[in-house]
Order: sequence, then structure tokens, then C-alpha cells
Amino acid sequence: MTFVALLLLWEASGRIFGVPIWLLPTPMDIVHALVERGSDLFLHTWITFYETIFGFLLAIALGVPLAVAVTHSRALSNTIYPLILVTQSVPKVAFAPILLIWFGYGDFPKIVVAFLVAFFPIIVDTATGLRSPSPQIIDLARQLAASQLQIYAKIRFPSALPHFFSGLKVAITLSVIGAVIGEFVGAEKGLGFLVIESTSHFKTPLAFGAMVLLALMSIILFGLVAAIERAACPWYGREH
Amino acid sequence: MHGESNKKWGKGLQGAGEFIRVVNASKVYQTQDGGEVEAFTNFNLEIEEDEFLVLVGPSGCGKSTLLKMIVGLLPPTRGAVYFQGTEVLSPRTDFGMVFQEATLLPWRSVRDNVMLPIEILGKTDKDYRAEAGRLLTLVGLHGFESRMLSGGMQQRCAICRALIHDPRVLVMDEPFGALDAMTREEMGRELLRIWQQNRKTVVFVTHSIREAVWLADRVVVMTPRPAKIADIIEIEFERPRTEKMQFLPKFGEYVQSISDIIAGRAGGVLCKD
Repeated sequence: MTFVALLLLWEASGRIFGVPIWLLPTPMDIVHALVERGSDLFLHTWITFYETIFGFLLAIALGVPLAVAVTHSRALSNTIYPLILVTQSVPKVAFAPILLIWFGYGDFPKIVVAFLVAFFPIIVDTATGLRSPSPQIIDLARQLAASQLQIYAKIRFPSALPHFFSGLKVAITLSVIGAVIGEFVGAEKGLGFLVIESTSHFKTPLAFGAMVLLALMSIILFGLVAAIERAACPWYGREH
Repeated sequence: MHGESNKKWGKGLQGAGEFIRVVNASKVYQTQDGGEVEAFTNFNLEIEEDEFLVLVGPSGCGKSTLLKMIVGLLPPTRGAVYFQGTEVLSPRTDFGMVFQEATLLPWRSVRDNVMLPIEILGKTDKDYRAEAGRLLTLVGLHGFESRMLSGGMQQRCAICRALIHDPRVLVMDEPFGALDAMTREEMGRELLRIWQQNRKTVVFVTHSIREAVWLADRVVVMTPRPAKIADIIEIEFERPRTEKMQFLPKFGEYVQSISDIIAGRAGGVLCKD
């Protein structure tokens, strides 16, 4: 309701005060621009969507095993964490042009940026989760001569799930931002490219339209992760 | 069964100390700054089969360390632990453990929590389903499949988990320490009832002297670090123990003498320090 009211206020004030469309388009202008642009919006959205998802899945595929490695051995933890911290300290925006030089104009550098931003919360939260079981329950398992595999399968992984999903929820929205940053630096397709292209021609309504689509994508992906979380760890909601 | 449950510890034991023996055990910890802390030095203790042994002593006197050594999770720095004459060199899977925290796995149902040791030991689930049901009934948790258990219920479930594989020894590290006084009393009663029906050796750590006297065949009173045995008190009340025993003058005397030992006033005579 508040959201609809705000939209109406925006629309009304835009019309009453006659704000130029290239400065701040009204919601109706944005809808118009999107409709006018038509079918290739789907393509741009799809491109950004799959760059995001690929980067995100890659971050899971690498983040989870590394979280296990970090949990498993103090030595590995001491080697891997500083490295990860260094990669995180480099601003992705600054790194993106270099990726462009390395990997060209295709989808890959965008996927890499999406991966780089999503990776950190996933490994940190998963590692925290894997360490969350109490020393006593681990002792109990060890006293029953449990193998490391059993300790992970029966205790550490399930315990880590809520933390893992917290990391995923942060990571998925960051992935969208990562893909857009990748597109800003150099692209021919994608919603980030559309923002750059339309602003350079003062087509502000279309730029806003692309942002709306990006926001929708973020929200839907976040909702999807949250839904999977509720299905995967139903006990968590009951406890907290 | 009933004759055995009335059996008292002590008096003309044959092969004393053959069940569990801690011999000249020392445990030294390395501290962060390279120093050494002794949990205990040259510690000796003998535990009889089927006895209920309670360890009391100040916090941080190495009781938990001692328990870990007995179950084979922690090797002693020097000395050894023997179980039925065999040195304990690896975790004893035929022991069961209960801690202050119930440490249940929240994604598992009550029954599946109880079954955890069976899964870890790789035994056939089917053979123990009925036993899990029997134990849960015994502690009054039968039909409780809600995961929202109170502290006392969680601890009952943890006790069932410790008993499911029919361990030879039940090791309990302050199991009722986190419970409120009323639940604690109730749990003590429950434990005695369970023990009466599943006789096995219990090694129990507590801070409560009353709890120790009420539960134990023998109370081992320990000194602060490095831990030594200050005294071993035999509790000569009959089994099964009843509520009334807690109000007998003899009960008060036991409690008094144990607190005296802990406070360093042996034999009721005040030591000036």
C-alpha cells in the first residue's frame, strides 16, 4: 500500500511540477519506455539473469568445498583466509576492466565478477555454520568412533544449513550487482549495458526501466533462495 | 534383578578395580603462551562394575578431562586408563555420554536423535527401533514428536541417546547442571529409576553435594587443580533410594562431611589458614 501511494505521489508530483522526462521520468513514462522497447528487453534480462546465476552457482561450487577445507584444518584456514581477504579487499569495480582485458567482451568476465562478490559471504557463513555444532556433540560422535564423513554428513552439514542460506541470501543480491558491474565495464547485452546505453542517449525512462527489471530480478531471486531455505531447514524457523 | 538391585557396593570385593582403573594418570595442557597447566598429576581411581560413582569438586578441577580420558577421547600425558584390564587407547564405543547441554540435533525428531549412535555405529536401524521406543517410554517421552522440548525433556532424550546402544558405562558430565532446581530433583529420581531397570556402571560429575549423596554408591571428592582425590565417601543407603532418605540425619551428615572436605576442614575440625 505504501509502495503504491509512493508511486502515485511520484507520478502526480512529476506531472504537477513538470519535471523534464530526461531528469526524472514518472512511473508511467518508465512503463511506456519499457513497452516501447519491446521484445529485446527479454534478451537483456535473460543475459543478466544467467550471468548472475552462473556466478552465484560457481561461488557455491567453490565456496562450500573451501569452507570445508577451512573448517577441517587450521593450517588451511590460515593460508586460505588471508588470500580470500585480499581478493575481497580489491574493489570489484576496479578489477572488472582487467577481467575485460583477460576474457574479452563475452559473458565470462561478468560471470567472474558475479562469482567474486558472491563467493565471500558464502564461504564465511558456511565455515561459521560448519563450526557451529557444540564440541560436546562432536565428542559424542568421536566417542562412537564416527568417521569424519559421518561427522560432516550427520552433524556439521545440517548444522551449517541455516548459516549457509544466510550467506546465499546476501550472495544472490550481490551476484546481480556483480553482473551489472561487469556489464558496465564493457558489454553489448544485458540490463547493465541497457542502463549505460540509454543514459548516454539521455533515454532516462529506459534506464529507469532497466533498473526496475534489475530490482525485480533481485527480489525474485532472493525470494527463491528464501523459499528453498524454508523447505531445506524447516526446523530453523520454529526455533528462532 | 531385584536381588541385584539391592546389592550394596563395597564389603569384601573380589578383584577390586578390575572394571575401570585410572593408573598414575597425568594430563598436562599446553597454554597459548607456551606454558604448561596440569589438570591432574598421578591420579588413581578404580571404578567397580555396576556402581554409581559420583565425582564432586570445584569447577575447573579437571573432572571433564578425566571423563574424556576414561571414554578414550583424550590420551593421558602419562599413566593409563584400563577397562577390564585392557588399556584404553581409542574411543570406547561401548560407553555412553551425557553432557550438561542436551546437544540434540534440532532437525531430527526425538526418536531420530535417540537413534544417532545406532547410525554412527552402522548398526541396523530396525533392531533398535523397539529399544528406542522402550527407552522413550521409560523416560516419559513416548509419543513426543514435537521438537519443542523443555530443558528437562531434552535431557531425558539425551539420556535415551546415551543408552540406545546398551553401553557398558554411562558417563555423565554435570547432566542436570543447566536445569532448574525442581526439574533437577525430578531428573535425579528419573535417572535412578532408569538405572534401577538398566543396571550399568555410571560415572557422574556434579557440583551439587546433595545430588551426589542421593545418587551415589561412592562419592569421590576432588581437590582443585592439579586435581587429587581428597576422599572417597561410601554412601550406605539402600537401593532403591527413596525421597525420604534425603531427610534422614545420616544424609545431612554425608553432605556436611563432604562440604567440610571440599572446604578443607577434614573430620569436622576447622583448619586455620
